Amino acid sequence: MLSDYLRVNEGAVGGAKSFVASDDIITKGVLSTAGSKMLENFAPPFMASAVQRFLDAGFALFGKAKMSEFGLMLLSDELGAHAAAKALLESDAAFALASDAWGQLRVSAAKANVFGFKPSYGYVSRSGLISNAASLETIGVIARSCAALREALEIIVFQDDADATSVEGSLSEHANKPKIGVVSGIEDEGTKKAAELLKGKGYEITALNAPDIALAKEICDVISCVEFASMAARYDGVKFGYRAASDELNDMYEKTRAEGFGEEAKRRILLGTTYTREKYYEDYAVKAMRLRRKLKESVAAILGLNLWLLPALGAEDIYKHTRIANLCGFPAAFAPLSEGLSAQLMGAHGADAAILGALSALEGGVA
Amino acid sequence: MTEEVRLAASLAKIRLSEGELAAFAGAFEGAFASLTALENASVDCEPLVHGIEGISSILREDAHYGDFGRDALFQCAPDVQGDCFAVPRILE
Repeated sequence: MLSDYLRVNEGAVGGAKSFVASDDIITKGVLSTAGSKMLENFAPPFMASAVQRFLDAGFALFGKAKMSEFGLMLLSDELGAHAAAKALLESDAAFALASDAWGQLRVSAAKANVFGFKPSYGYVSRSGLISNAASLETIGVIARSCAALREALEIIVFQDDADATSVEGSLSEHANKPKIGVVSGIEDEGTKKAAELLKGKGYEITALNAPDIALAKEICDVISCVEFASMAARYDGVKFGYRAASDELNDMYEKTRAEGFGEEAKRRILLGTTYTREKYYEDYAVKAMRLRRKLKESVAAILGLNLWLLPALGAEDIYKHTRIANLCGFPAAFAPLSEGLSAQLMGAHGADAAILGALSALEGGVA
Repeated sequence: MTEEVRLAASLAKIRLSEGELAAFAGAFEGAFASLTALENASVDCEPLVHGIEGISSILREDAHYGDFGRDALFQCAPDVQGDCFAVPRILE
């Protein structure tokens, strides 16, 4: 049922010229809660840049998709952290916008078996995104078809002076097709099927050396907690958001944050605060950032101009294969295939157009 | 880990019950245990603070872009008195 996944915007009619935005993407005058009690009554005074671009292009906001608190945990096994993909399927909107800090958008797309695209870091403005982990997250697109993905990306990829981490992006494809790389040991039935399909469409399949990604989860855990703790400092109950009743200022801060944040948000704030204390800073926060560089260099070295075909979802650790792109700032996309199979494509920073091209080639193999 | 959690909660301004303190102390033990490999890893390169490098602040001429308007901001505020955001009294 649509209302399980979405709050329909007042007066919205839906249709091919409408879109869905996840609830952590700010919409002027429309509730934007990021799934948190802390923002349960927050109707922001401005539009996220990506939303404004859609509005300027003649699209209407159909509704806000539900999500777990700041996208930190799964809403359910059936949805992932965001309900955006299911909301898209249940509505007749053209596409959905959602955030992706370690794979939430791609997992949401996977749960609904539709396309999910996380662009290169900086390609889509984060102005108006309620932040979870600033250096990891991007706004991306969920859509039923590659054509819709491309249409949406062409609207929202631009350099925005409202976001200091925004860069100029290009969606123009090179004349030469990239090679599609597969890493031995990091493959499943979906990647094998996708490799077959791509080979049939003229792509060369090549073996890539295994990158050094053994500590990706640990690096992501530390960095995401540190950045979430920093981001969450803004929620003090003074200018916006939830406020607990109190007669004393410090008491108000502590009660507001105790009552406004859920358990996982508190756990991350407490851990992030601890990792940045002098006692732990070098051994955890700085170490994670050093290892992040090493990981990124290792992944970039195997990629070159190739794309990496890898599984979409991890078996025990659902984000095992998705967080790598966020740590590197690289684009990655979820591709649904026939017979319940799926795959993920990742490229180096700026390889967005190459991924879109390969996704289009895979679309023939979509159920 | 209970004292570590208590200190973090104090720094982060989150009030915790004794039950929460105990629960988060357990969570801390699990989190730190899961990071042994990271702590023991030997690495000497420069830290990477962003997924992409070479990002520089976008410098532009100072310009007034308009504002949201006082009323719009006050509508988001938990409490307002006159022309001010209201908070509990700080000075007697």
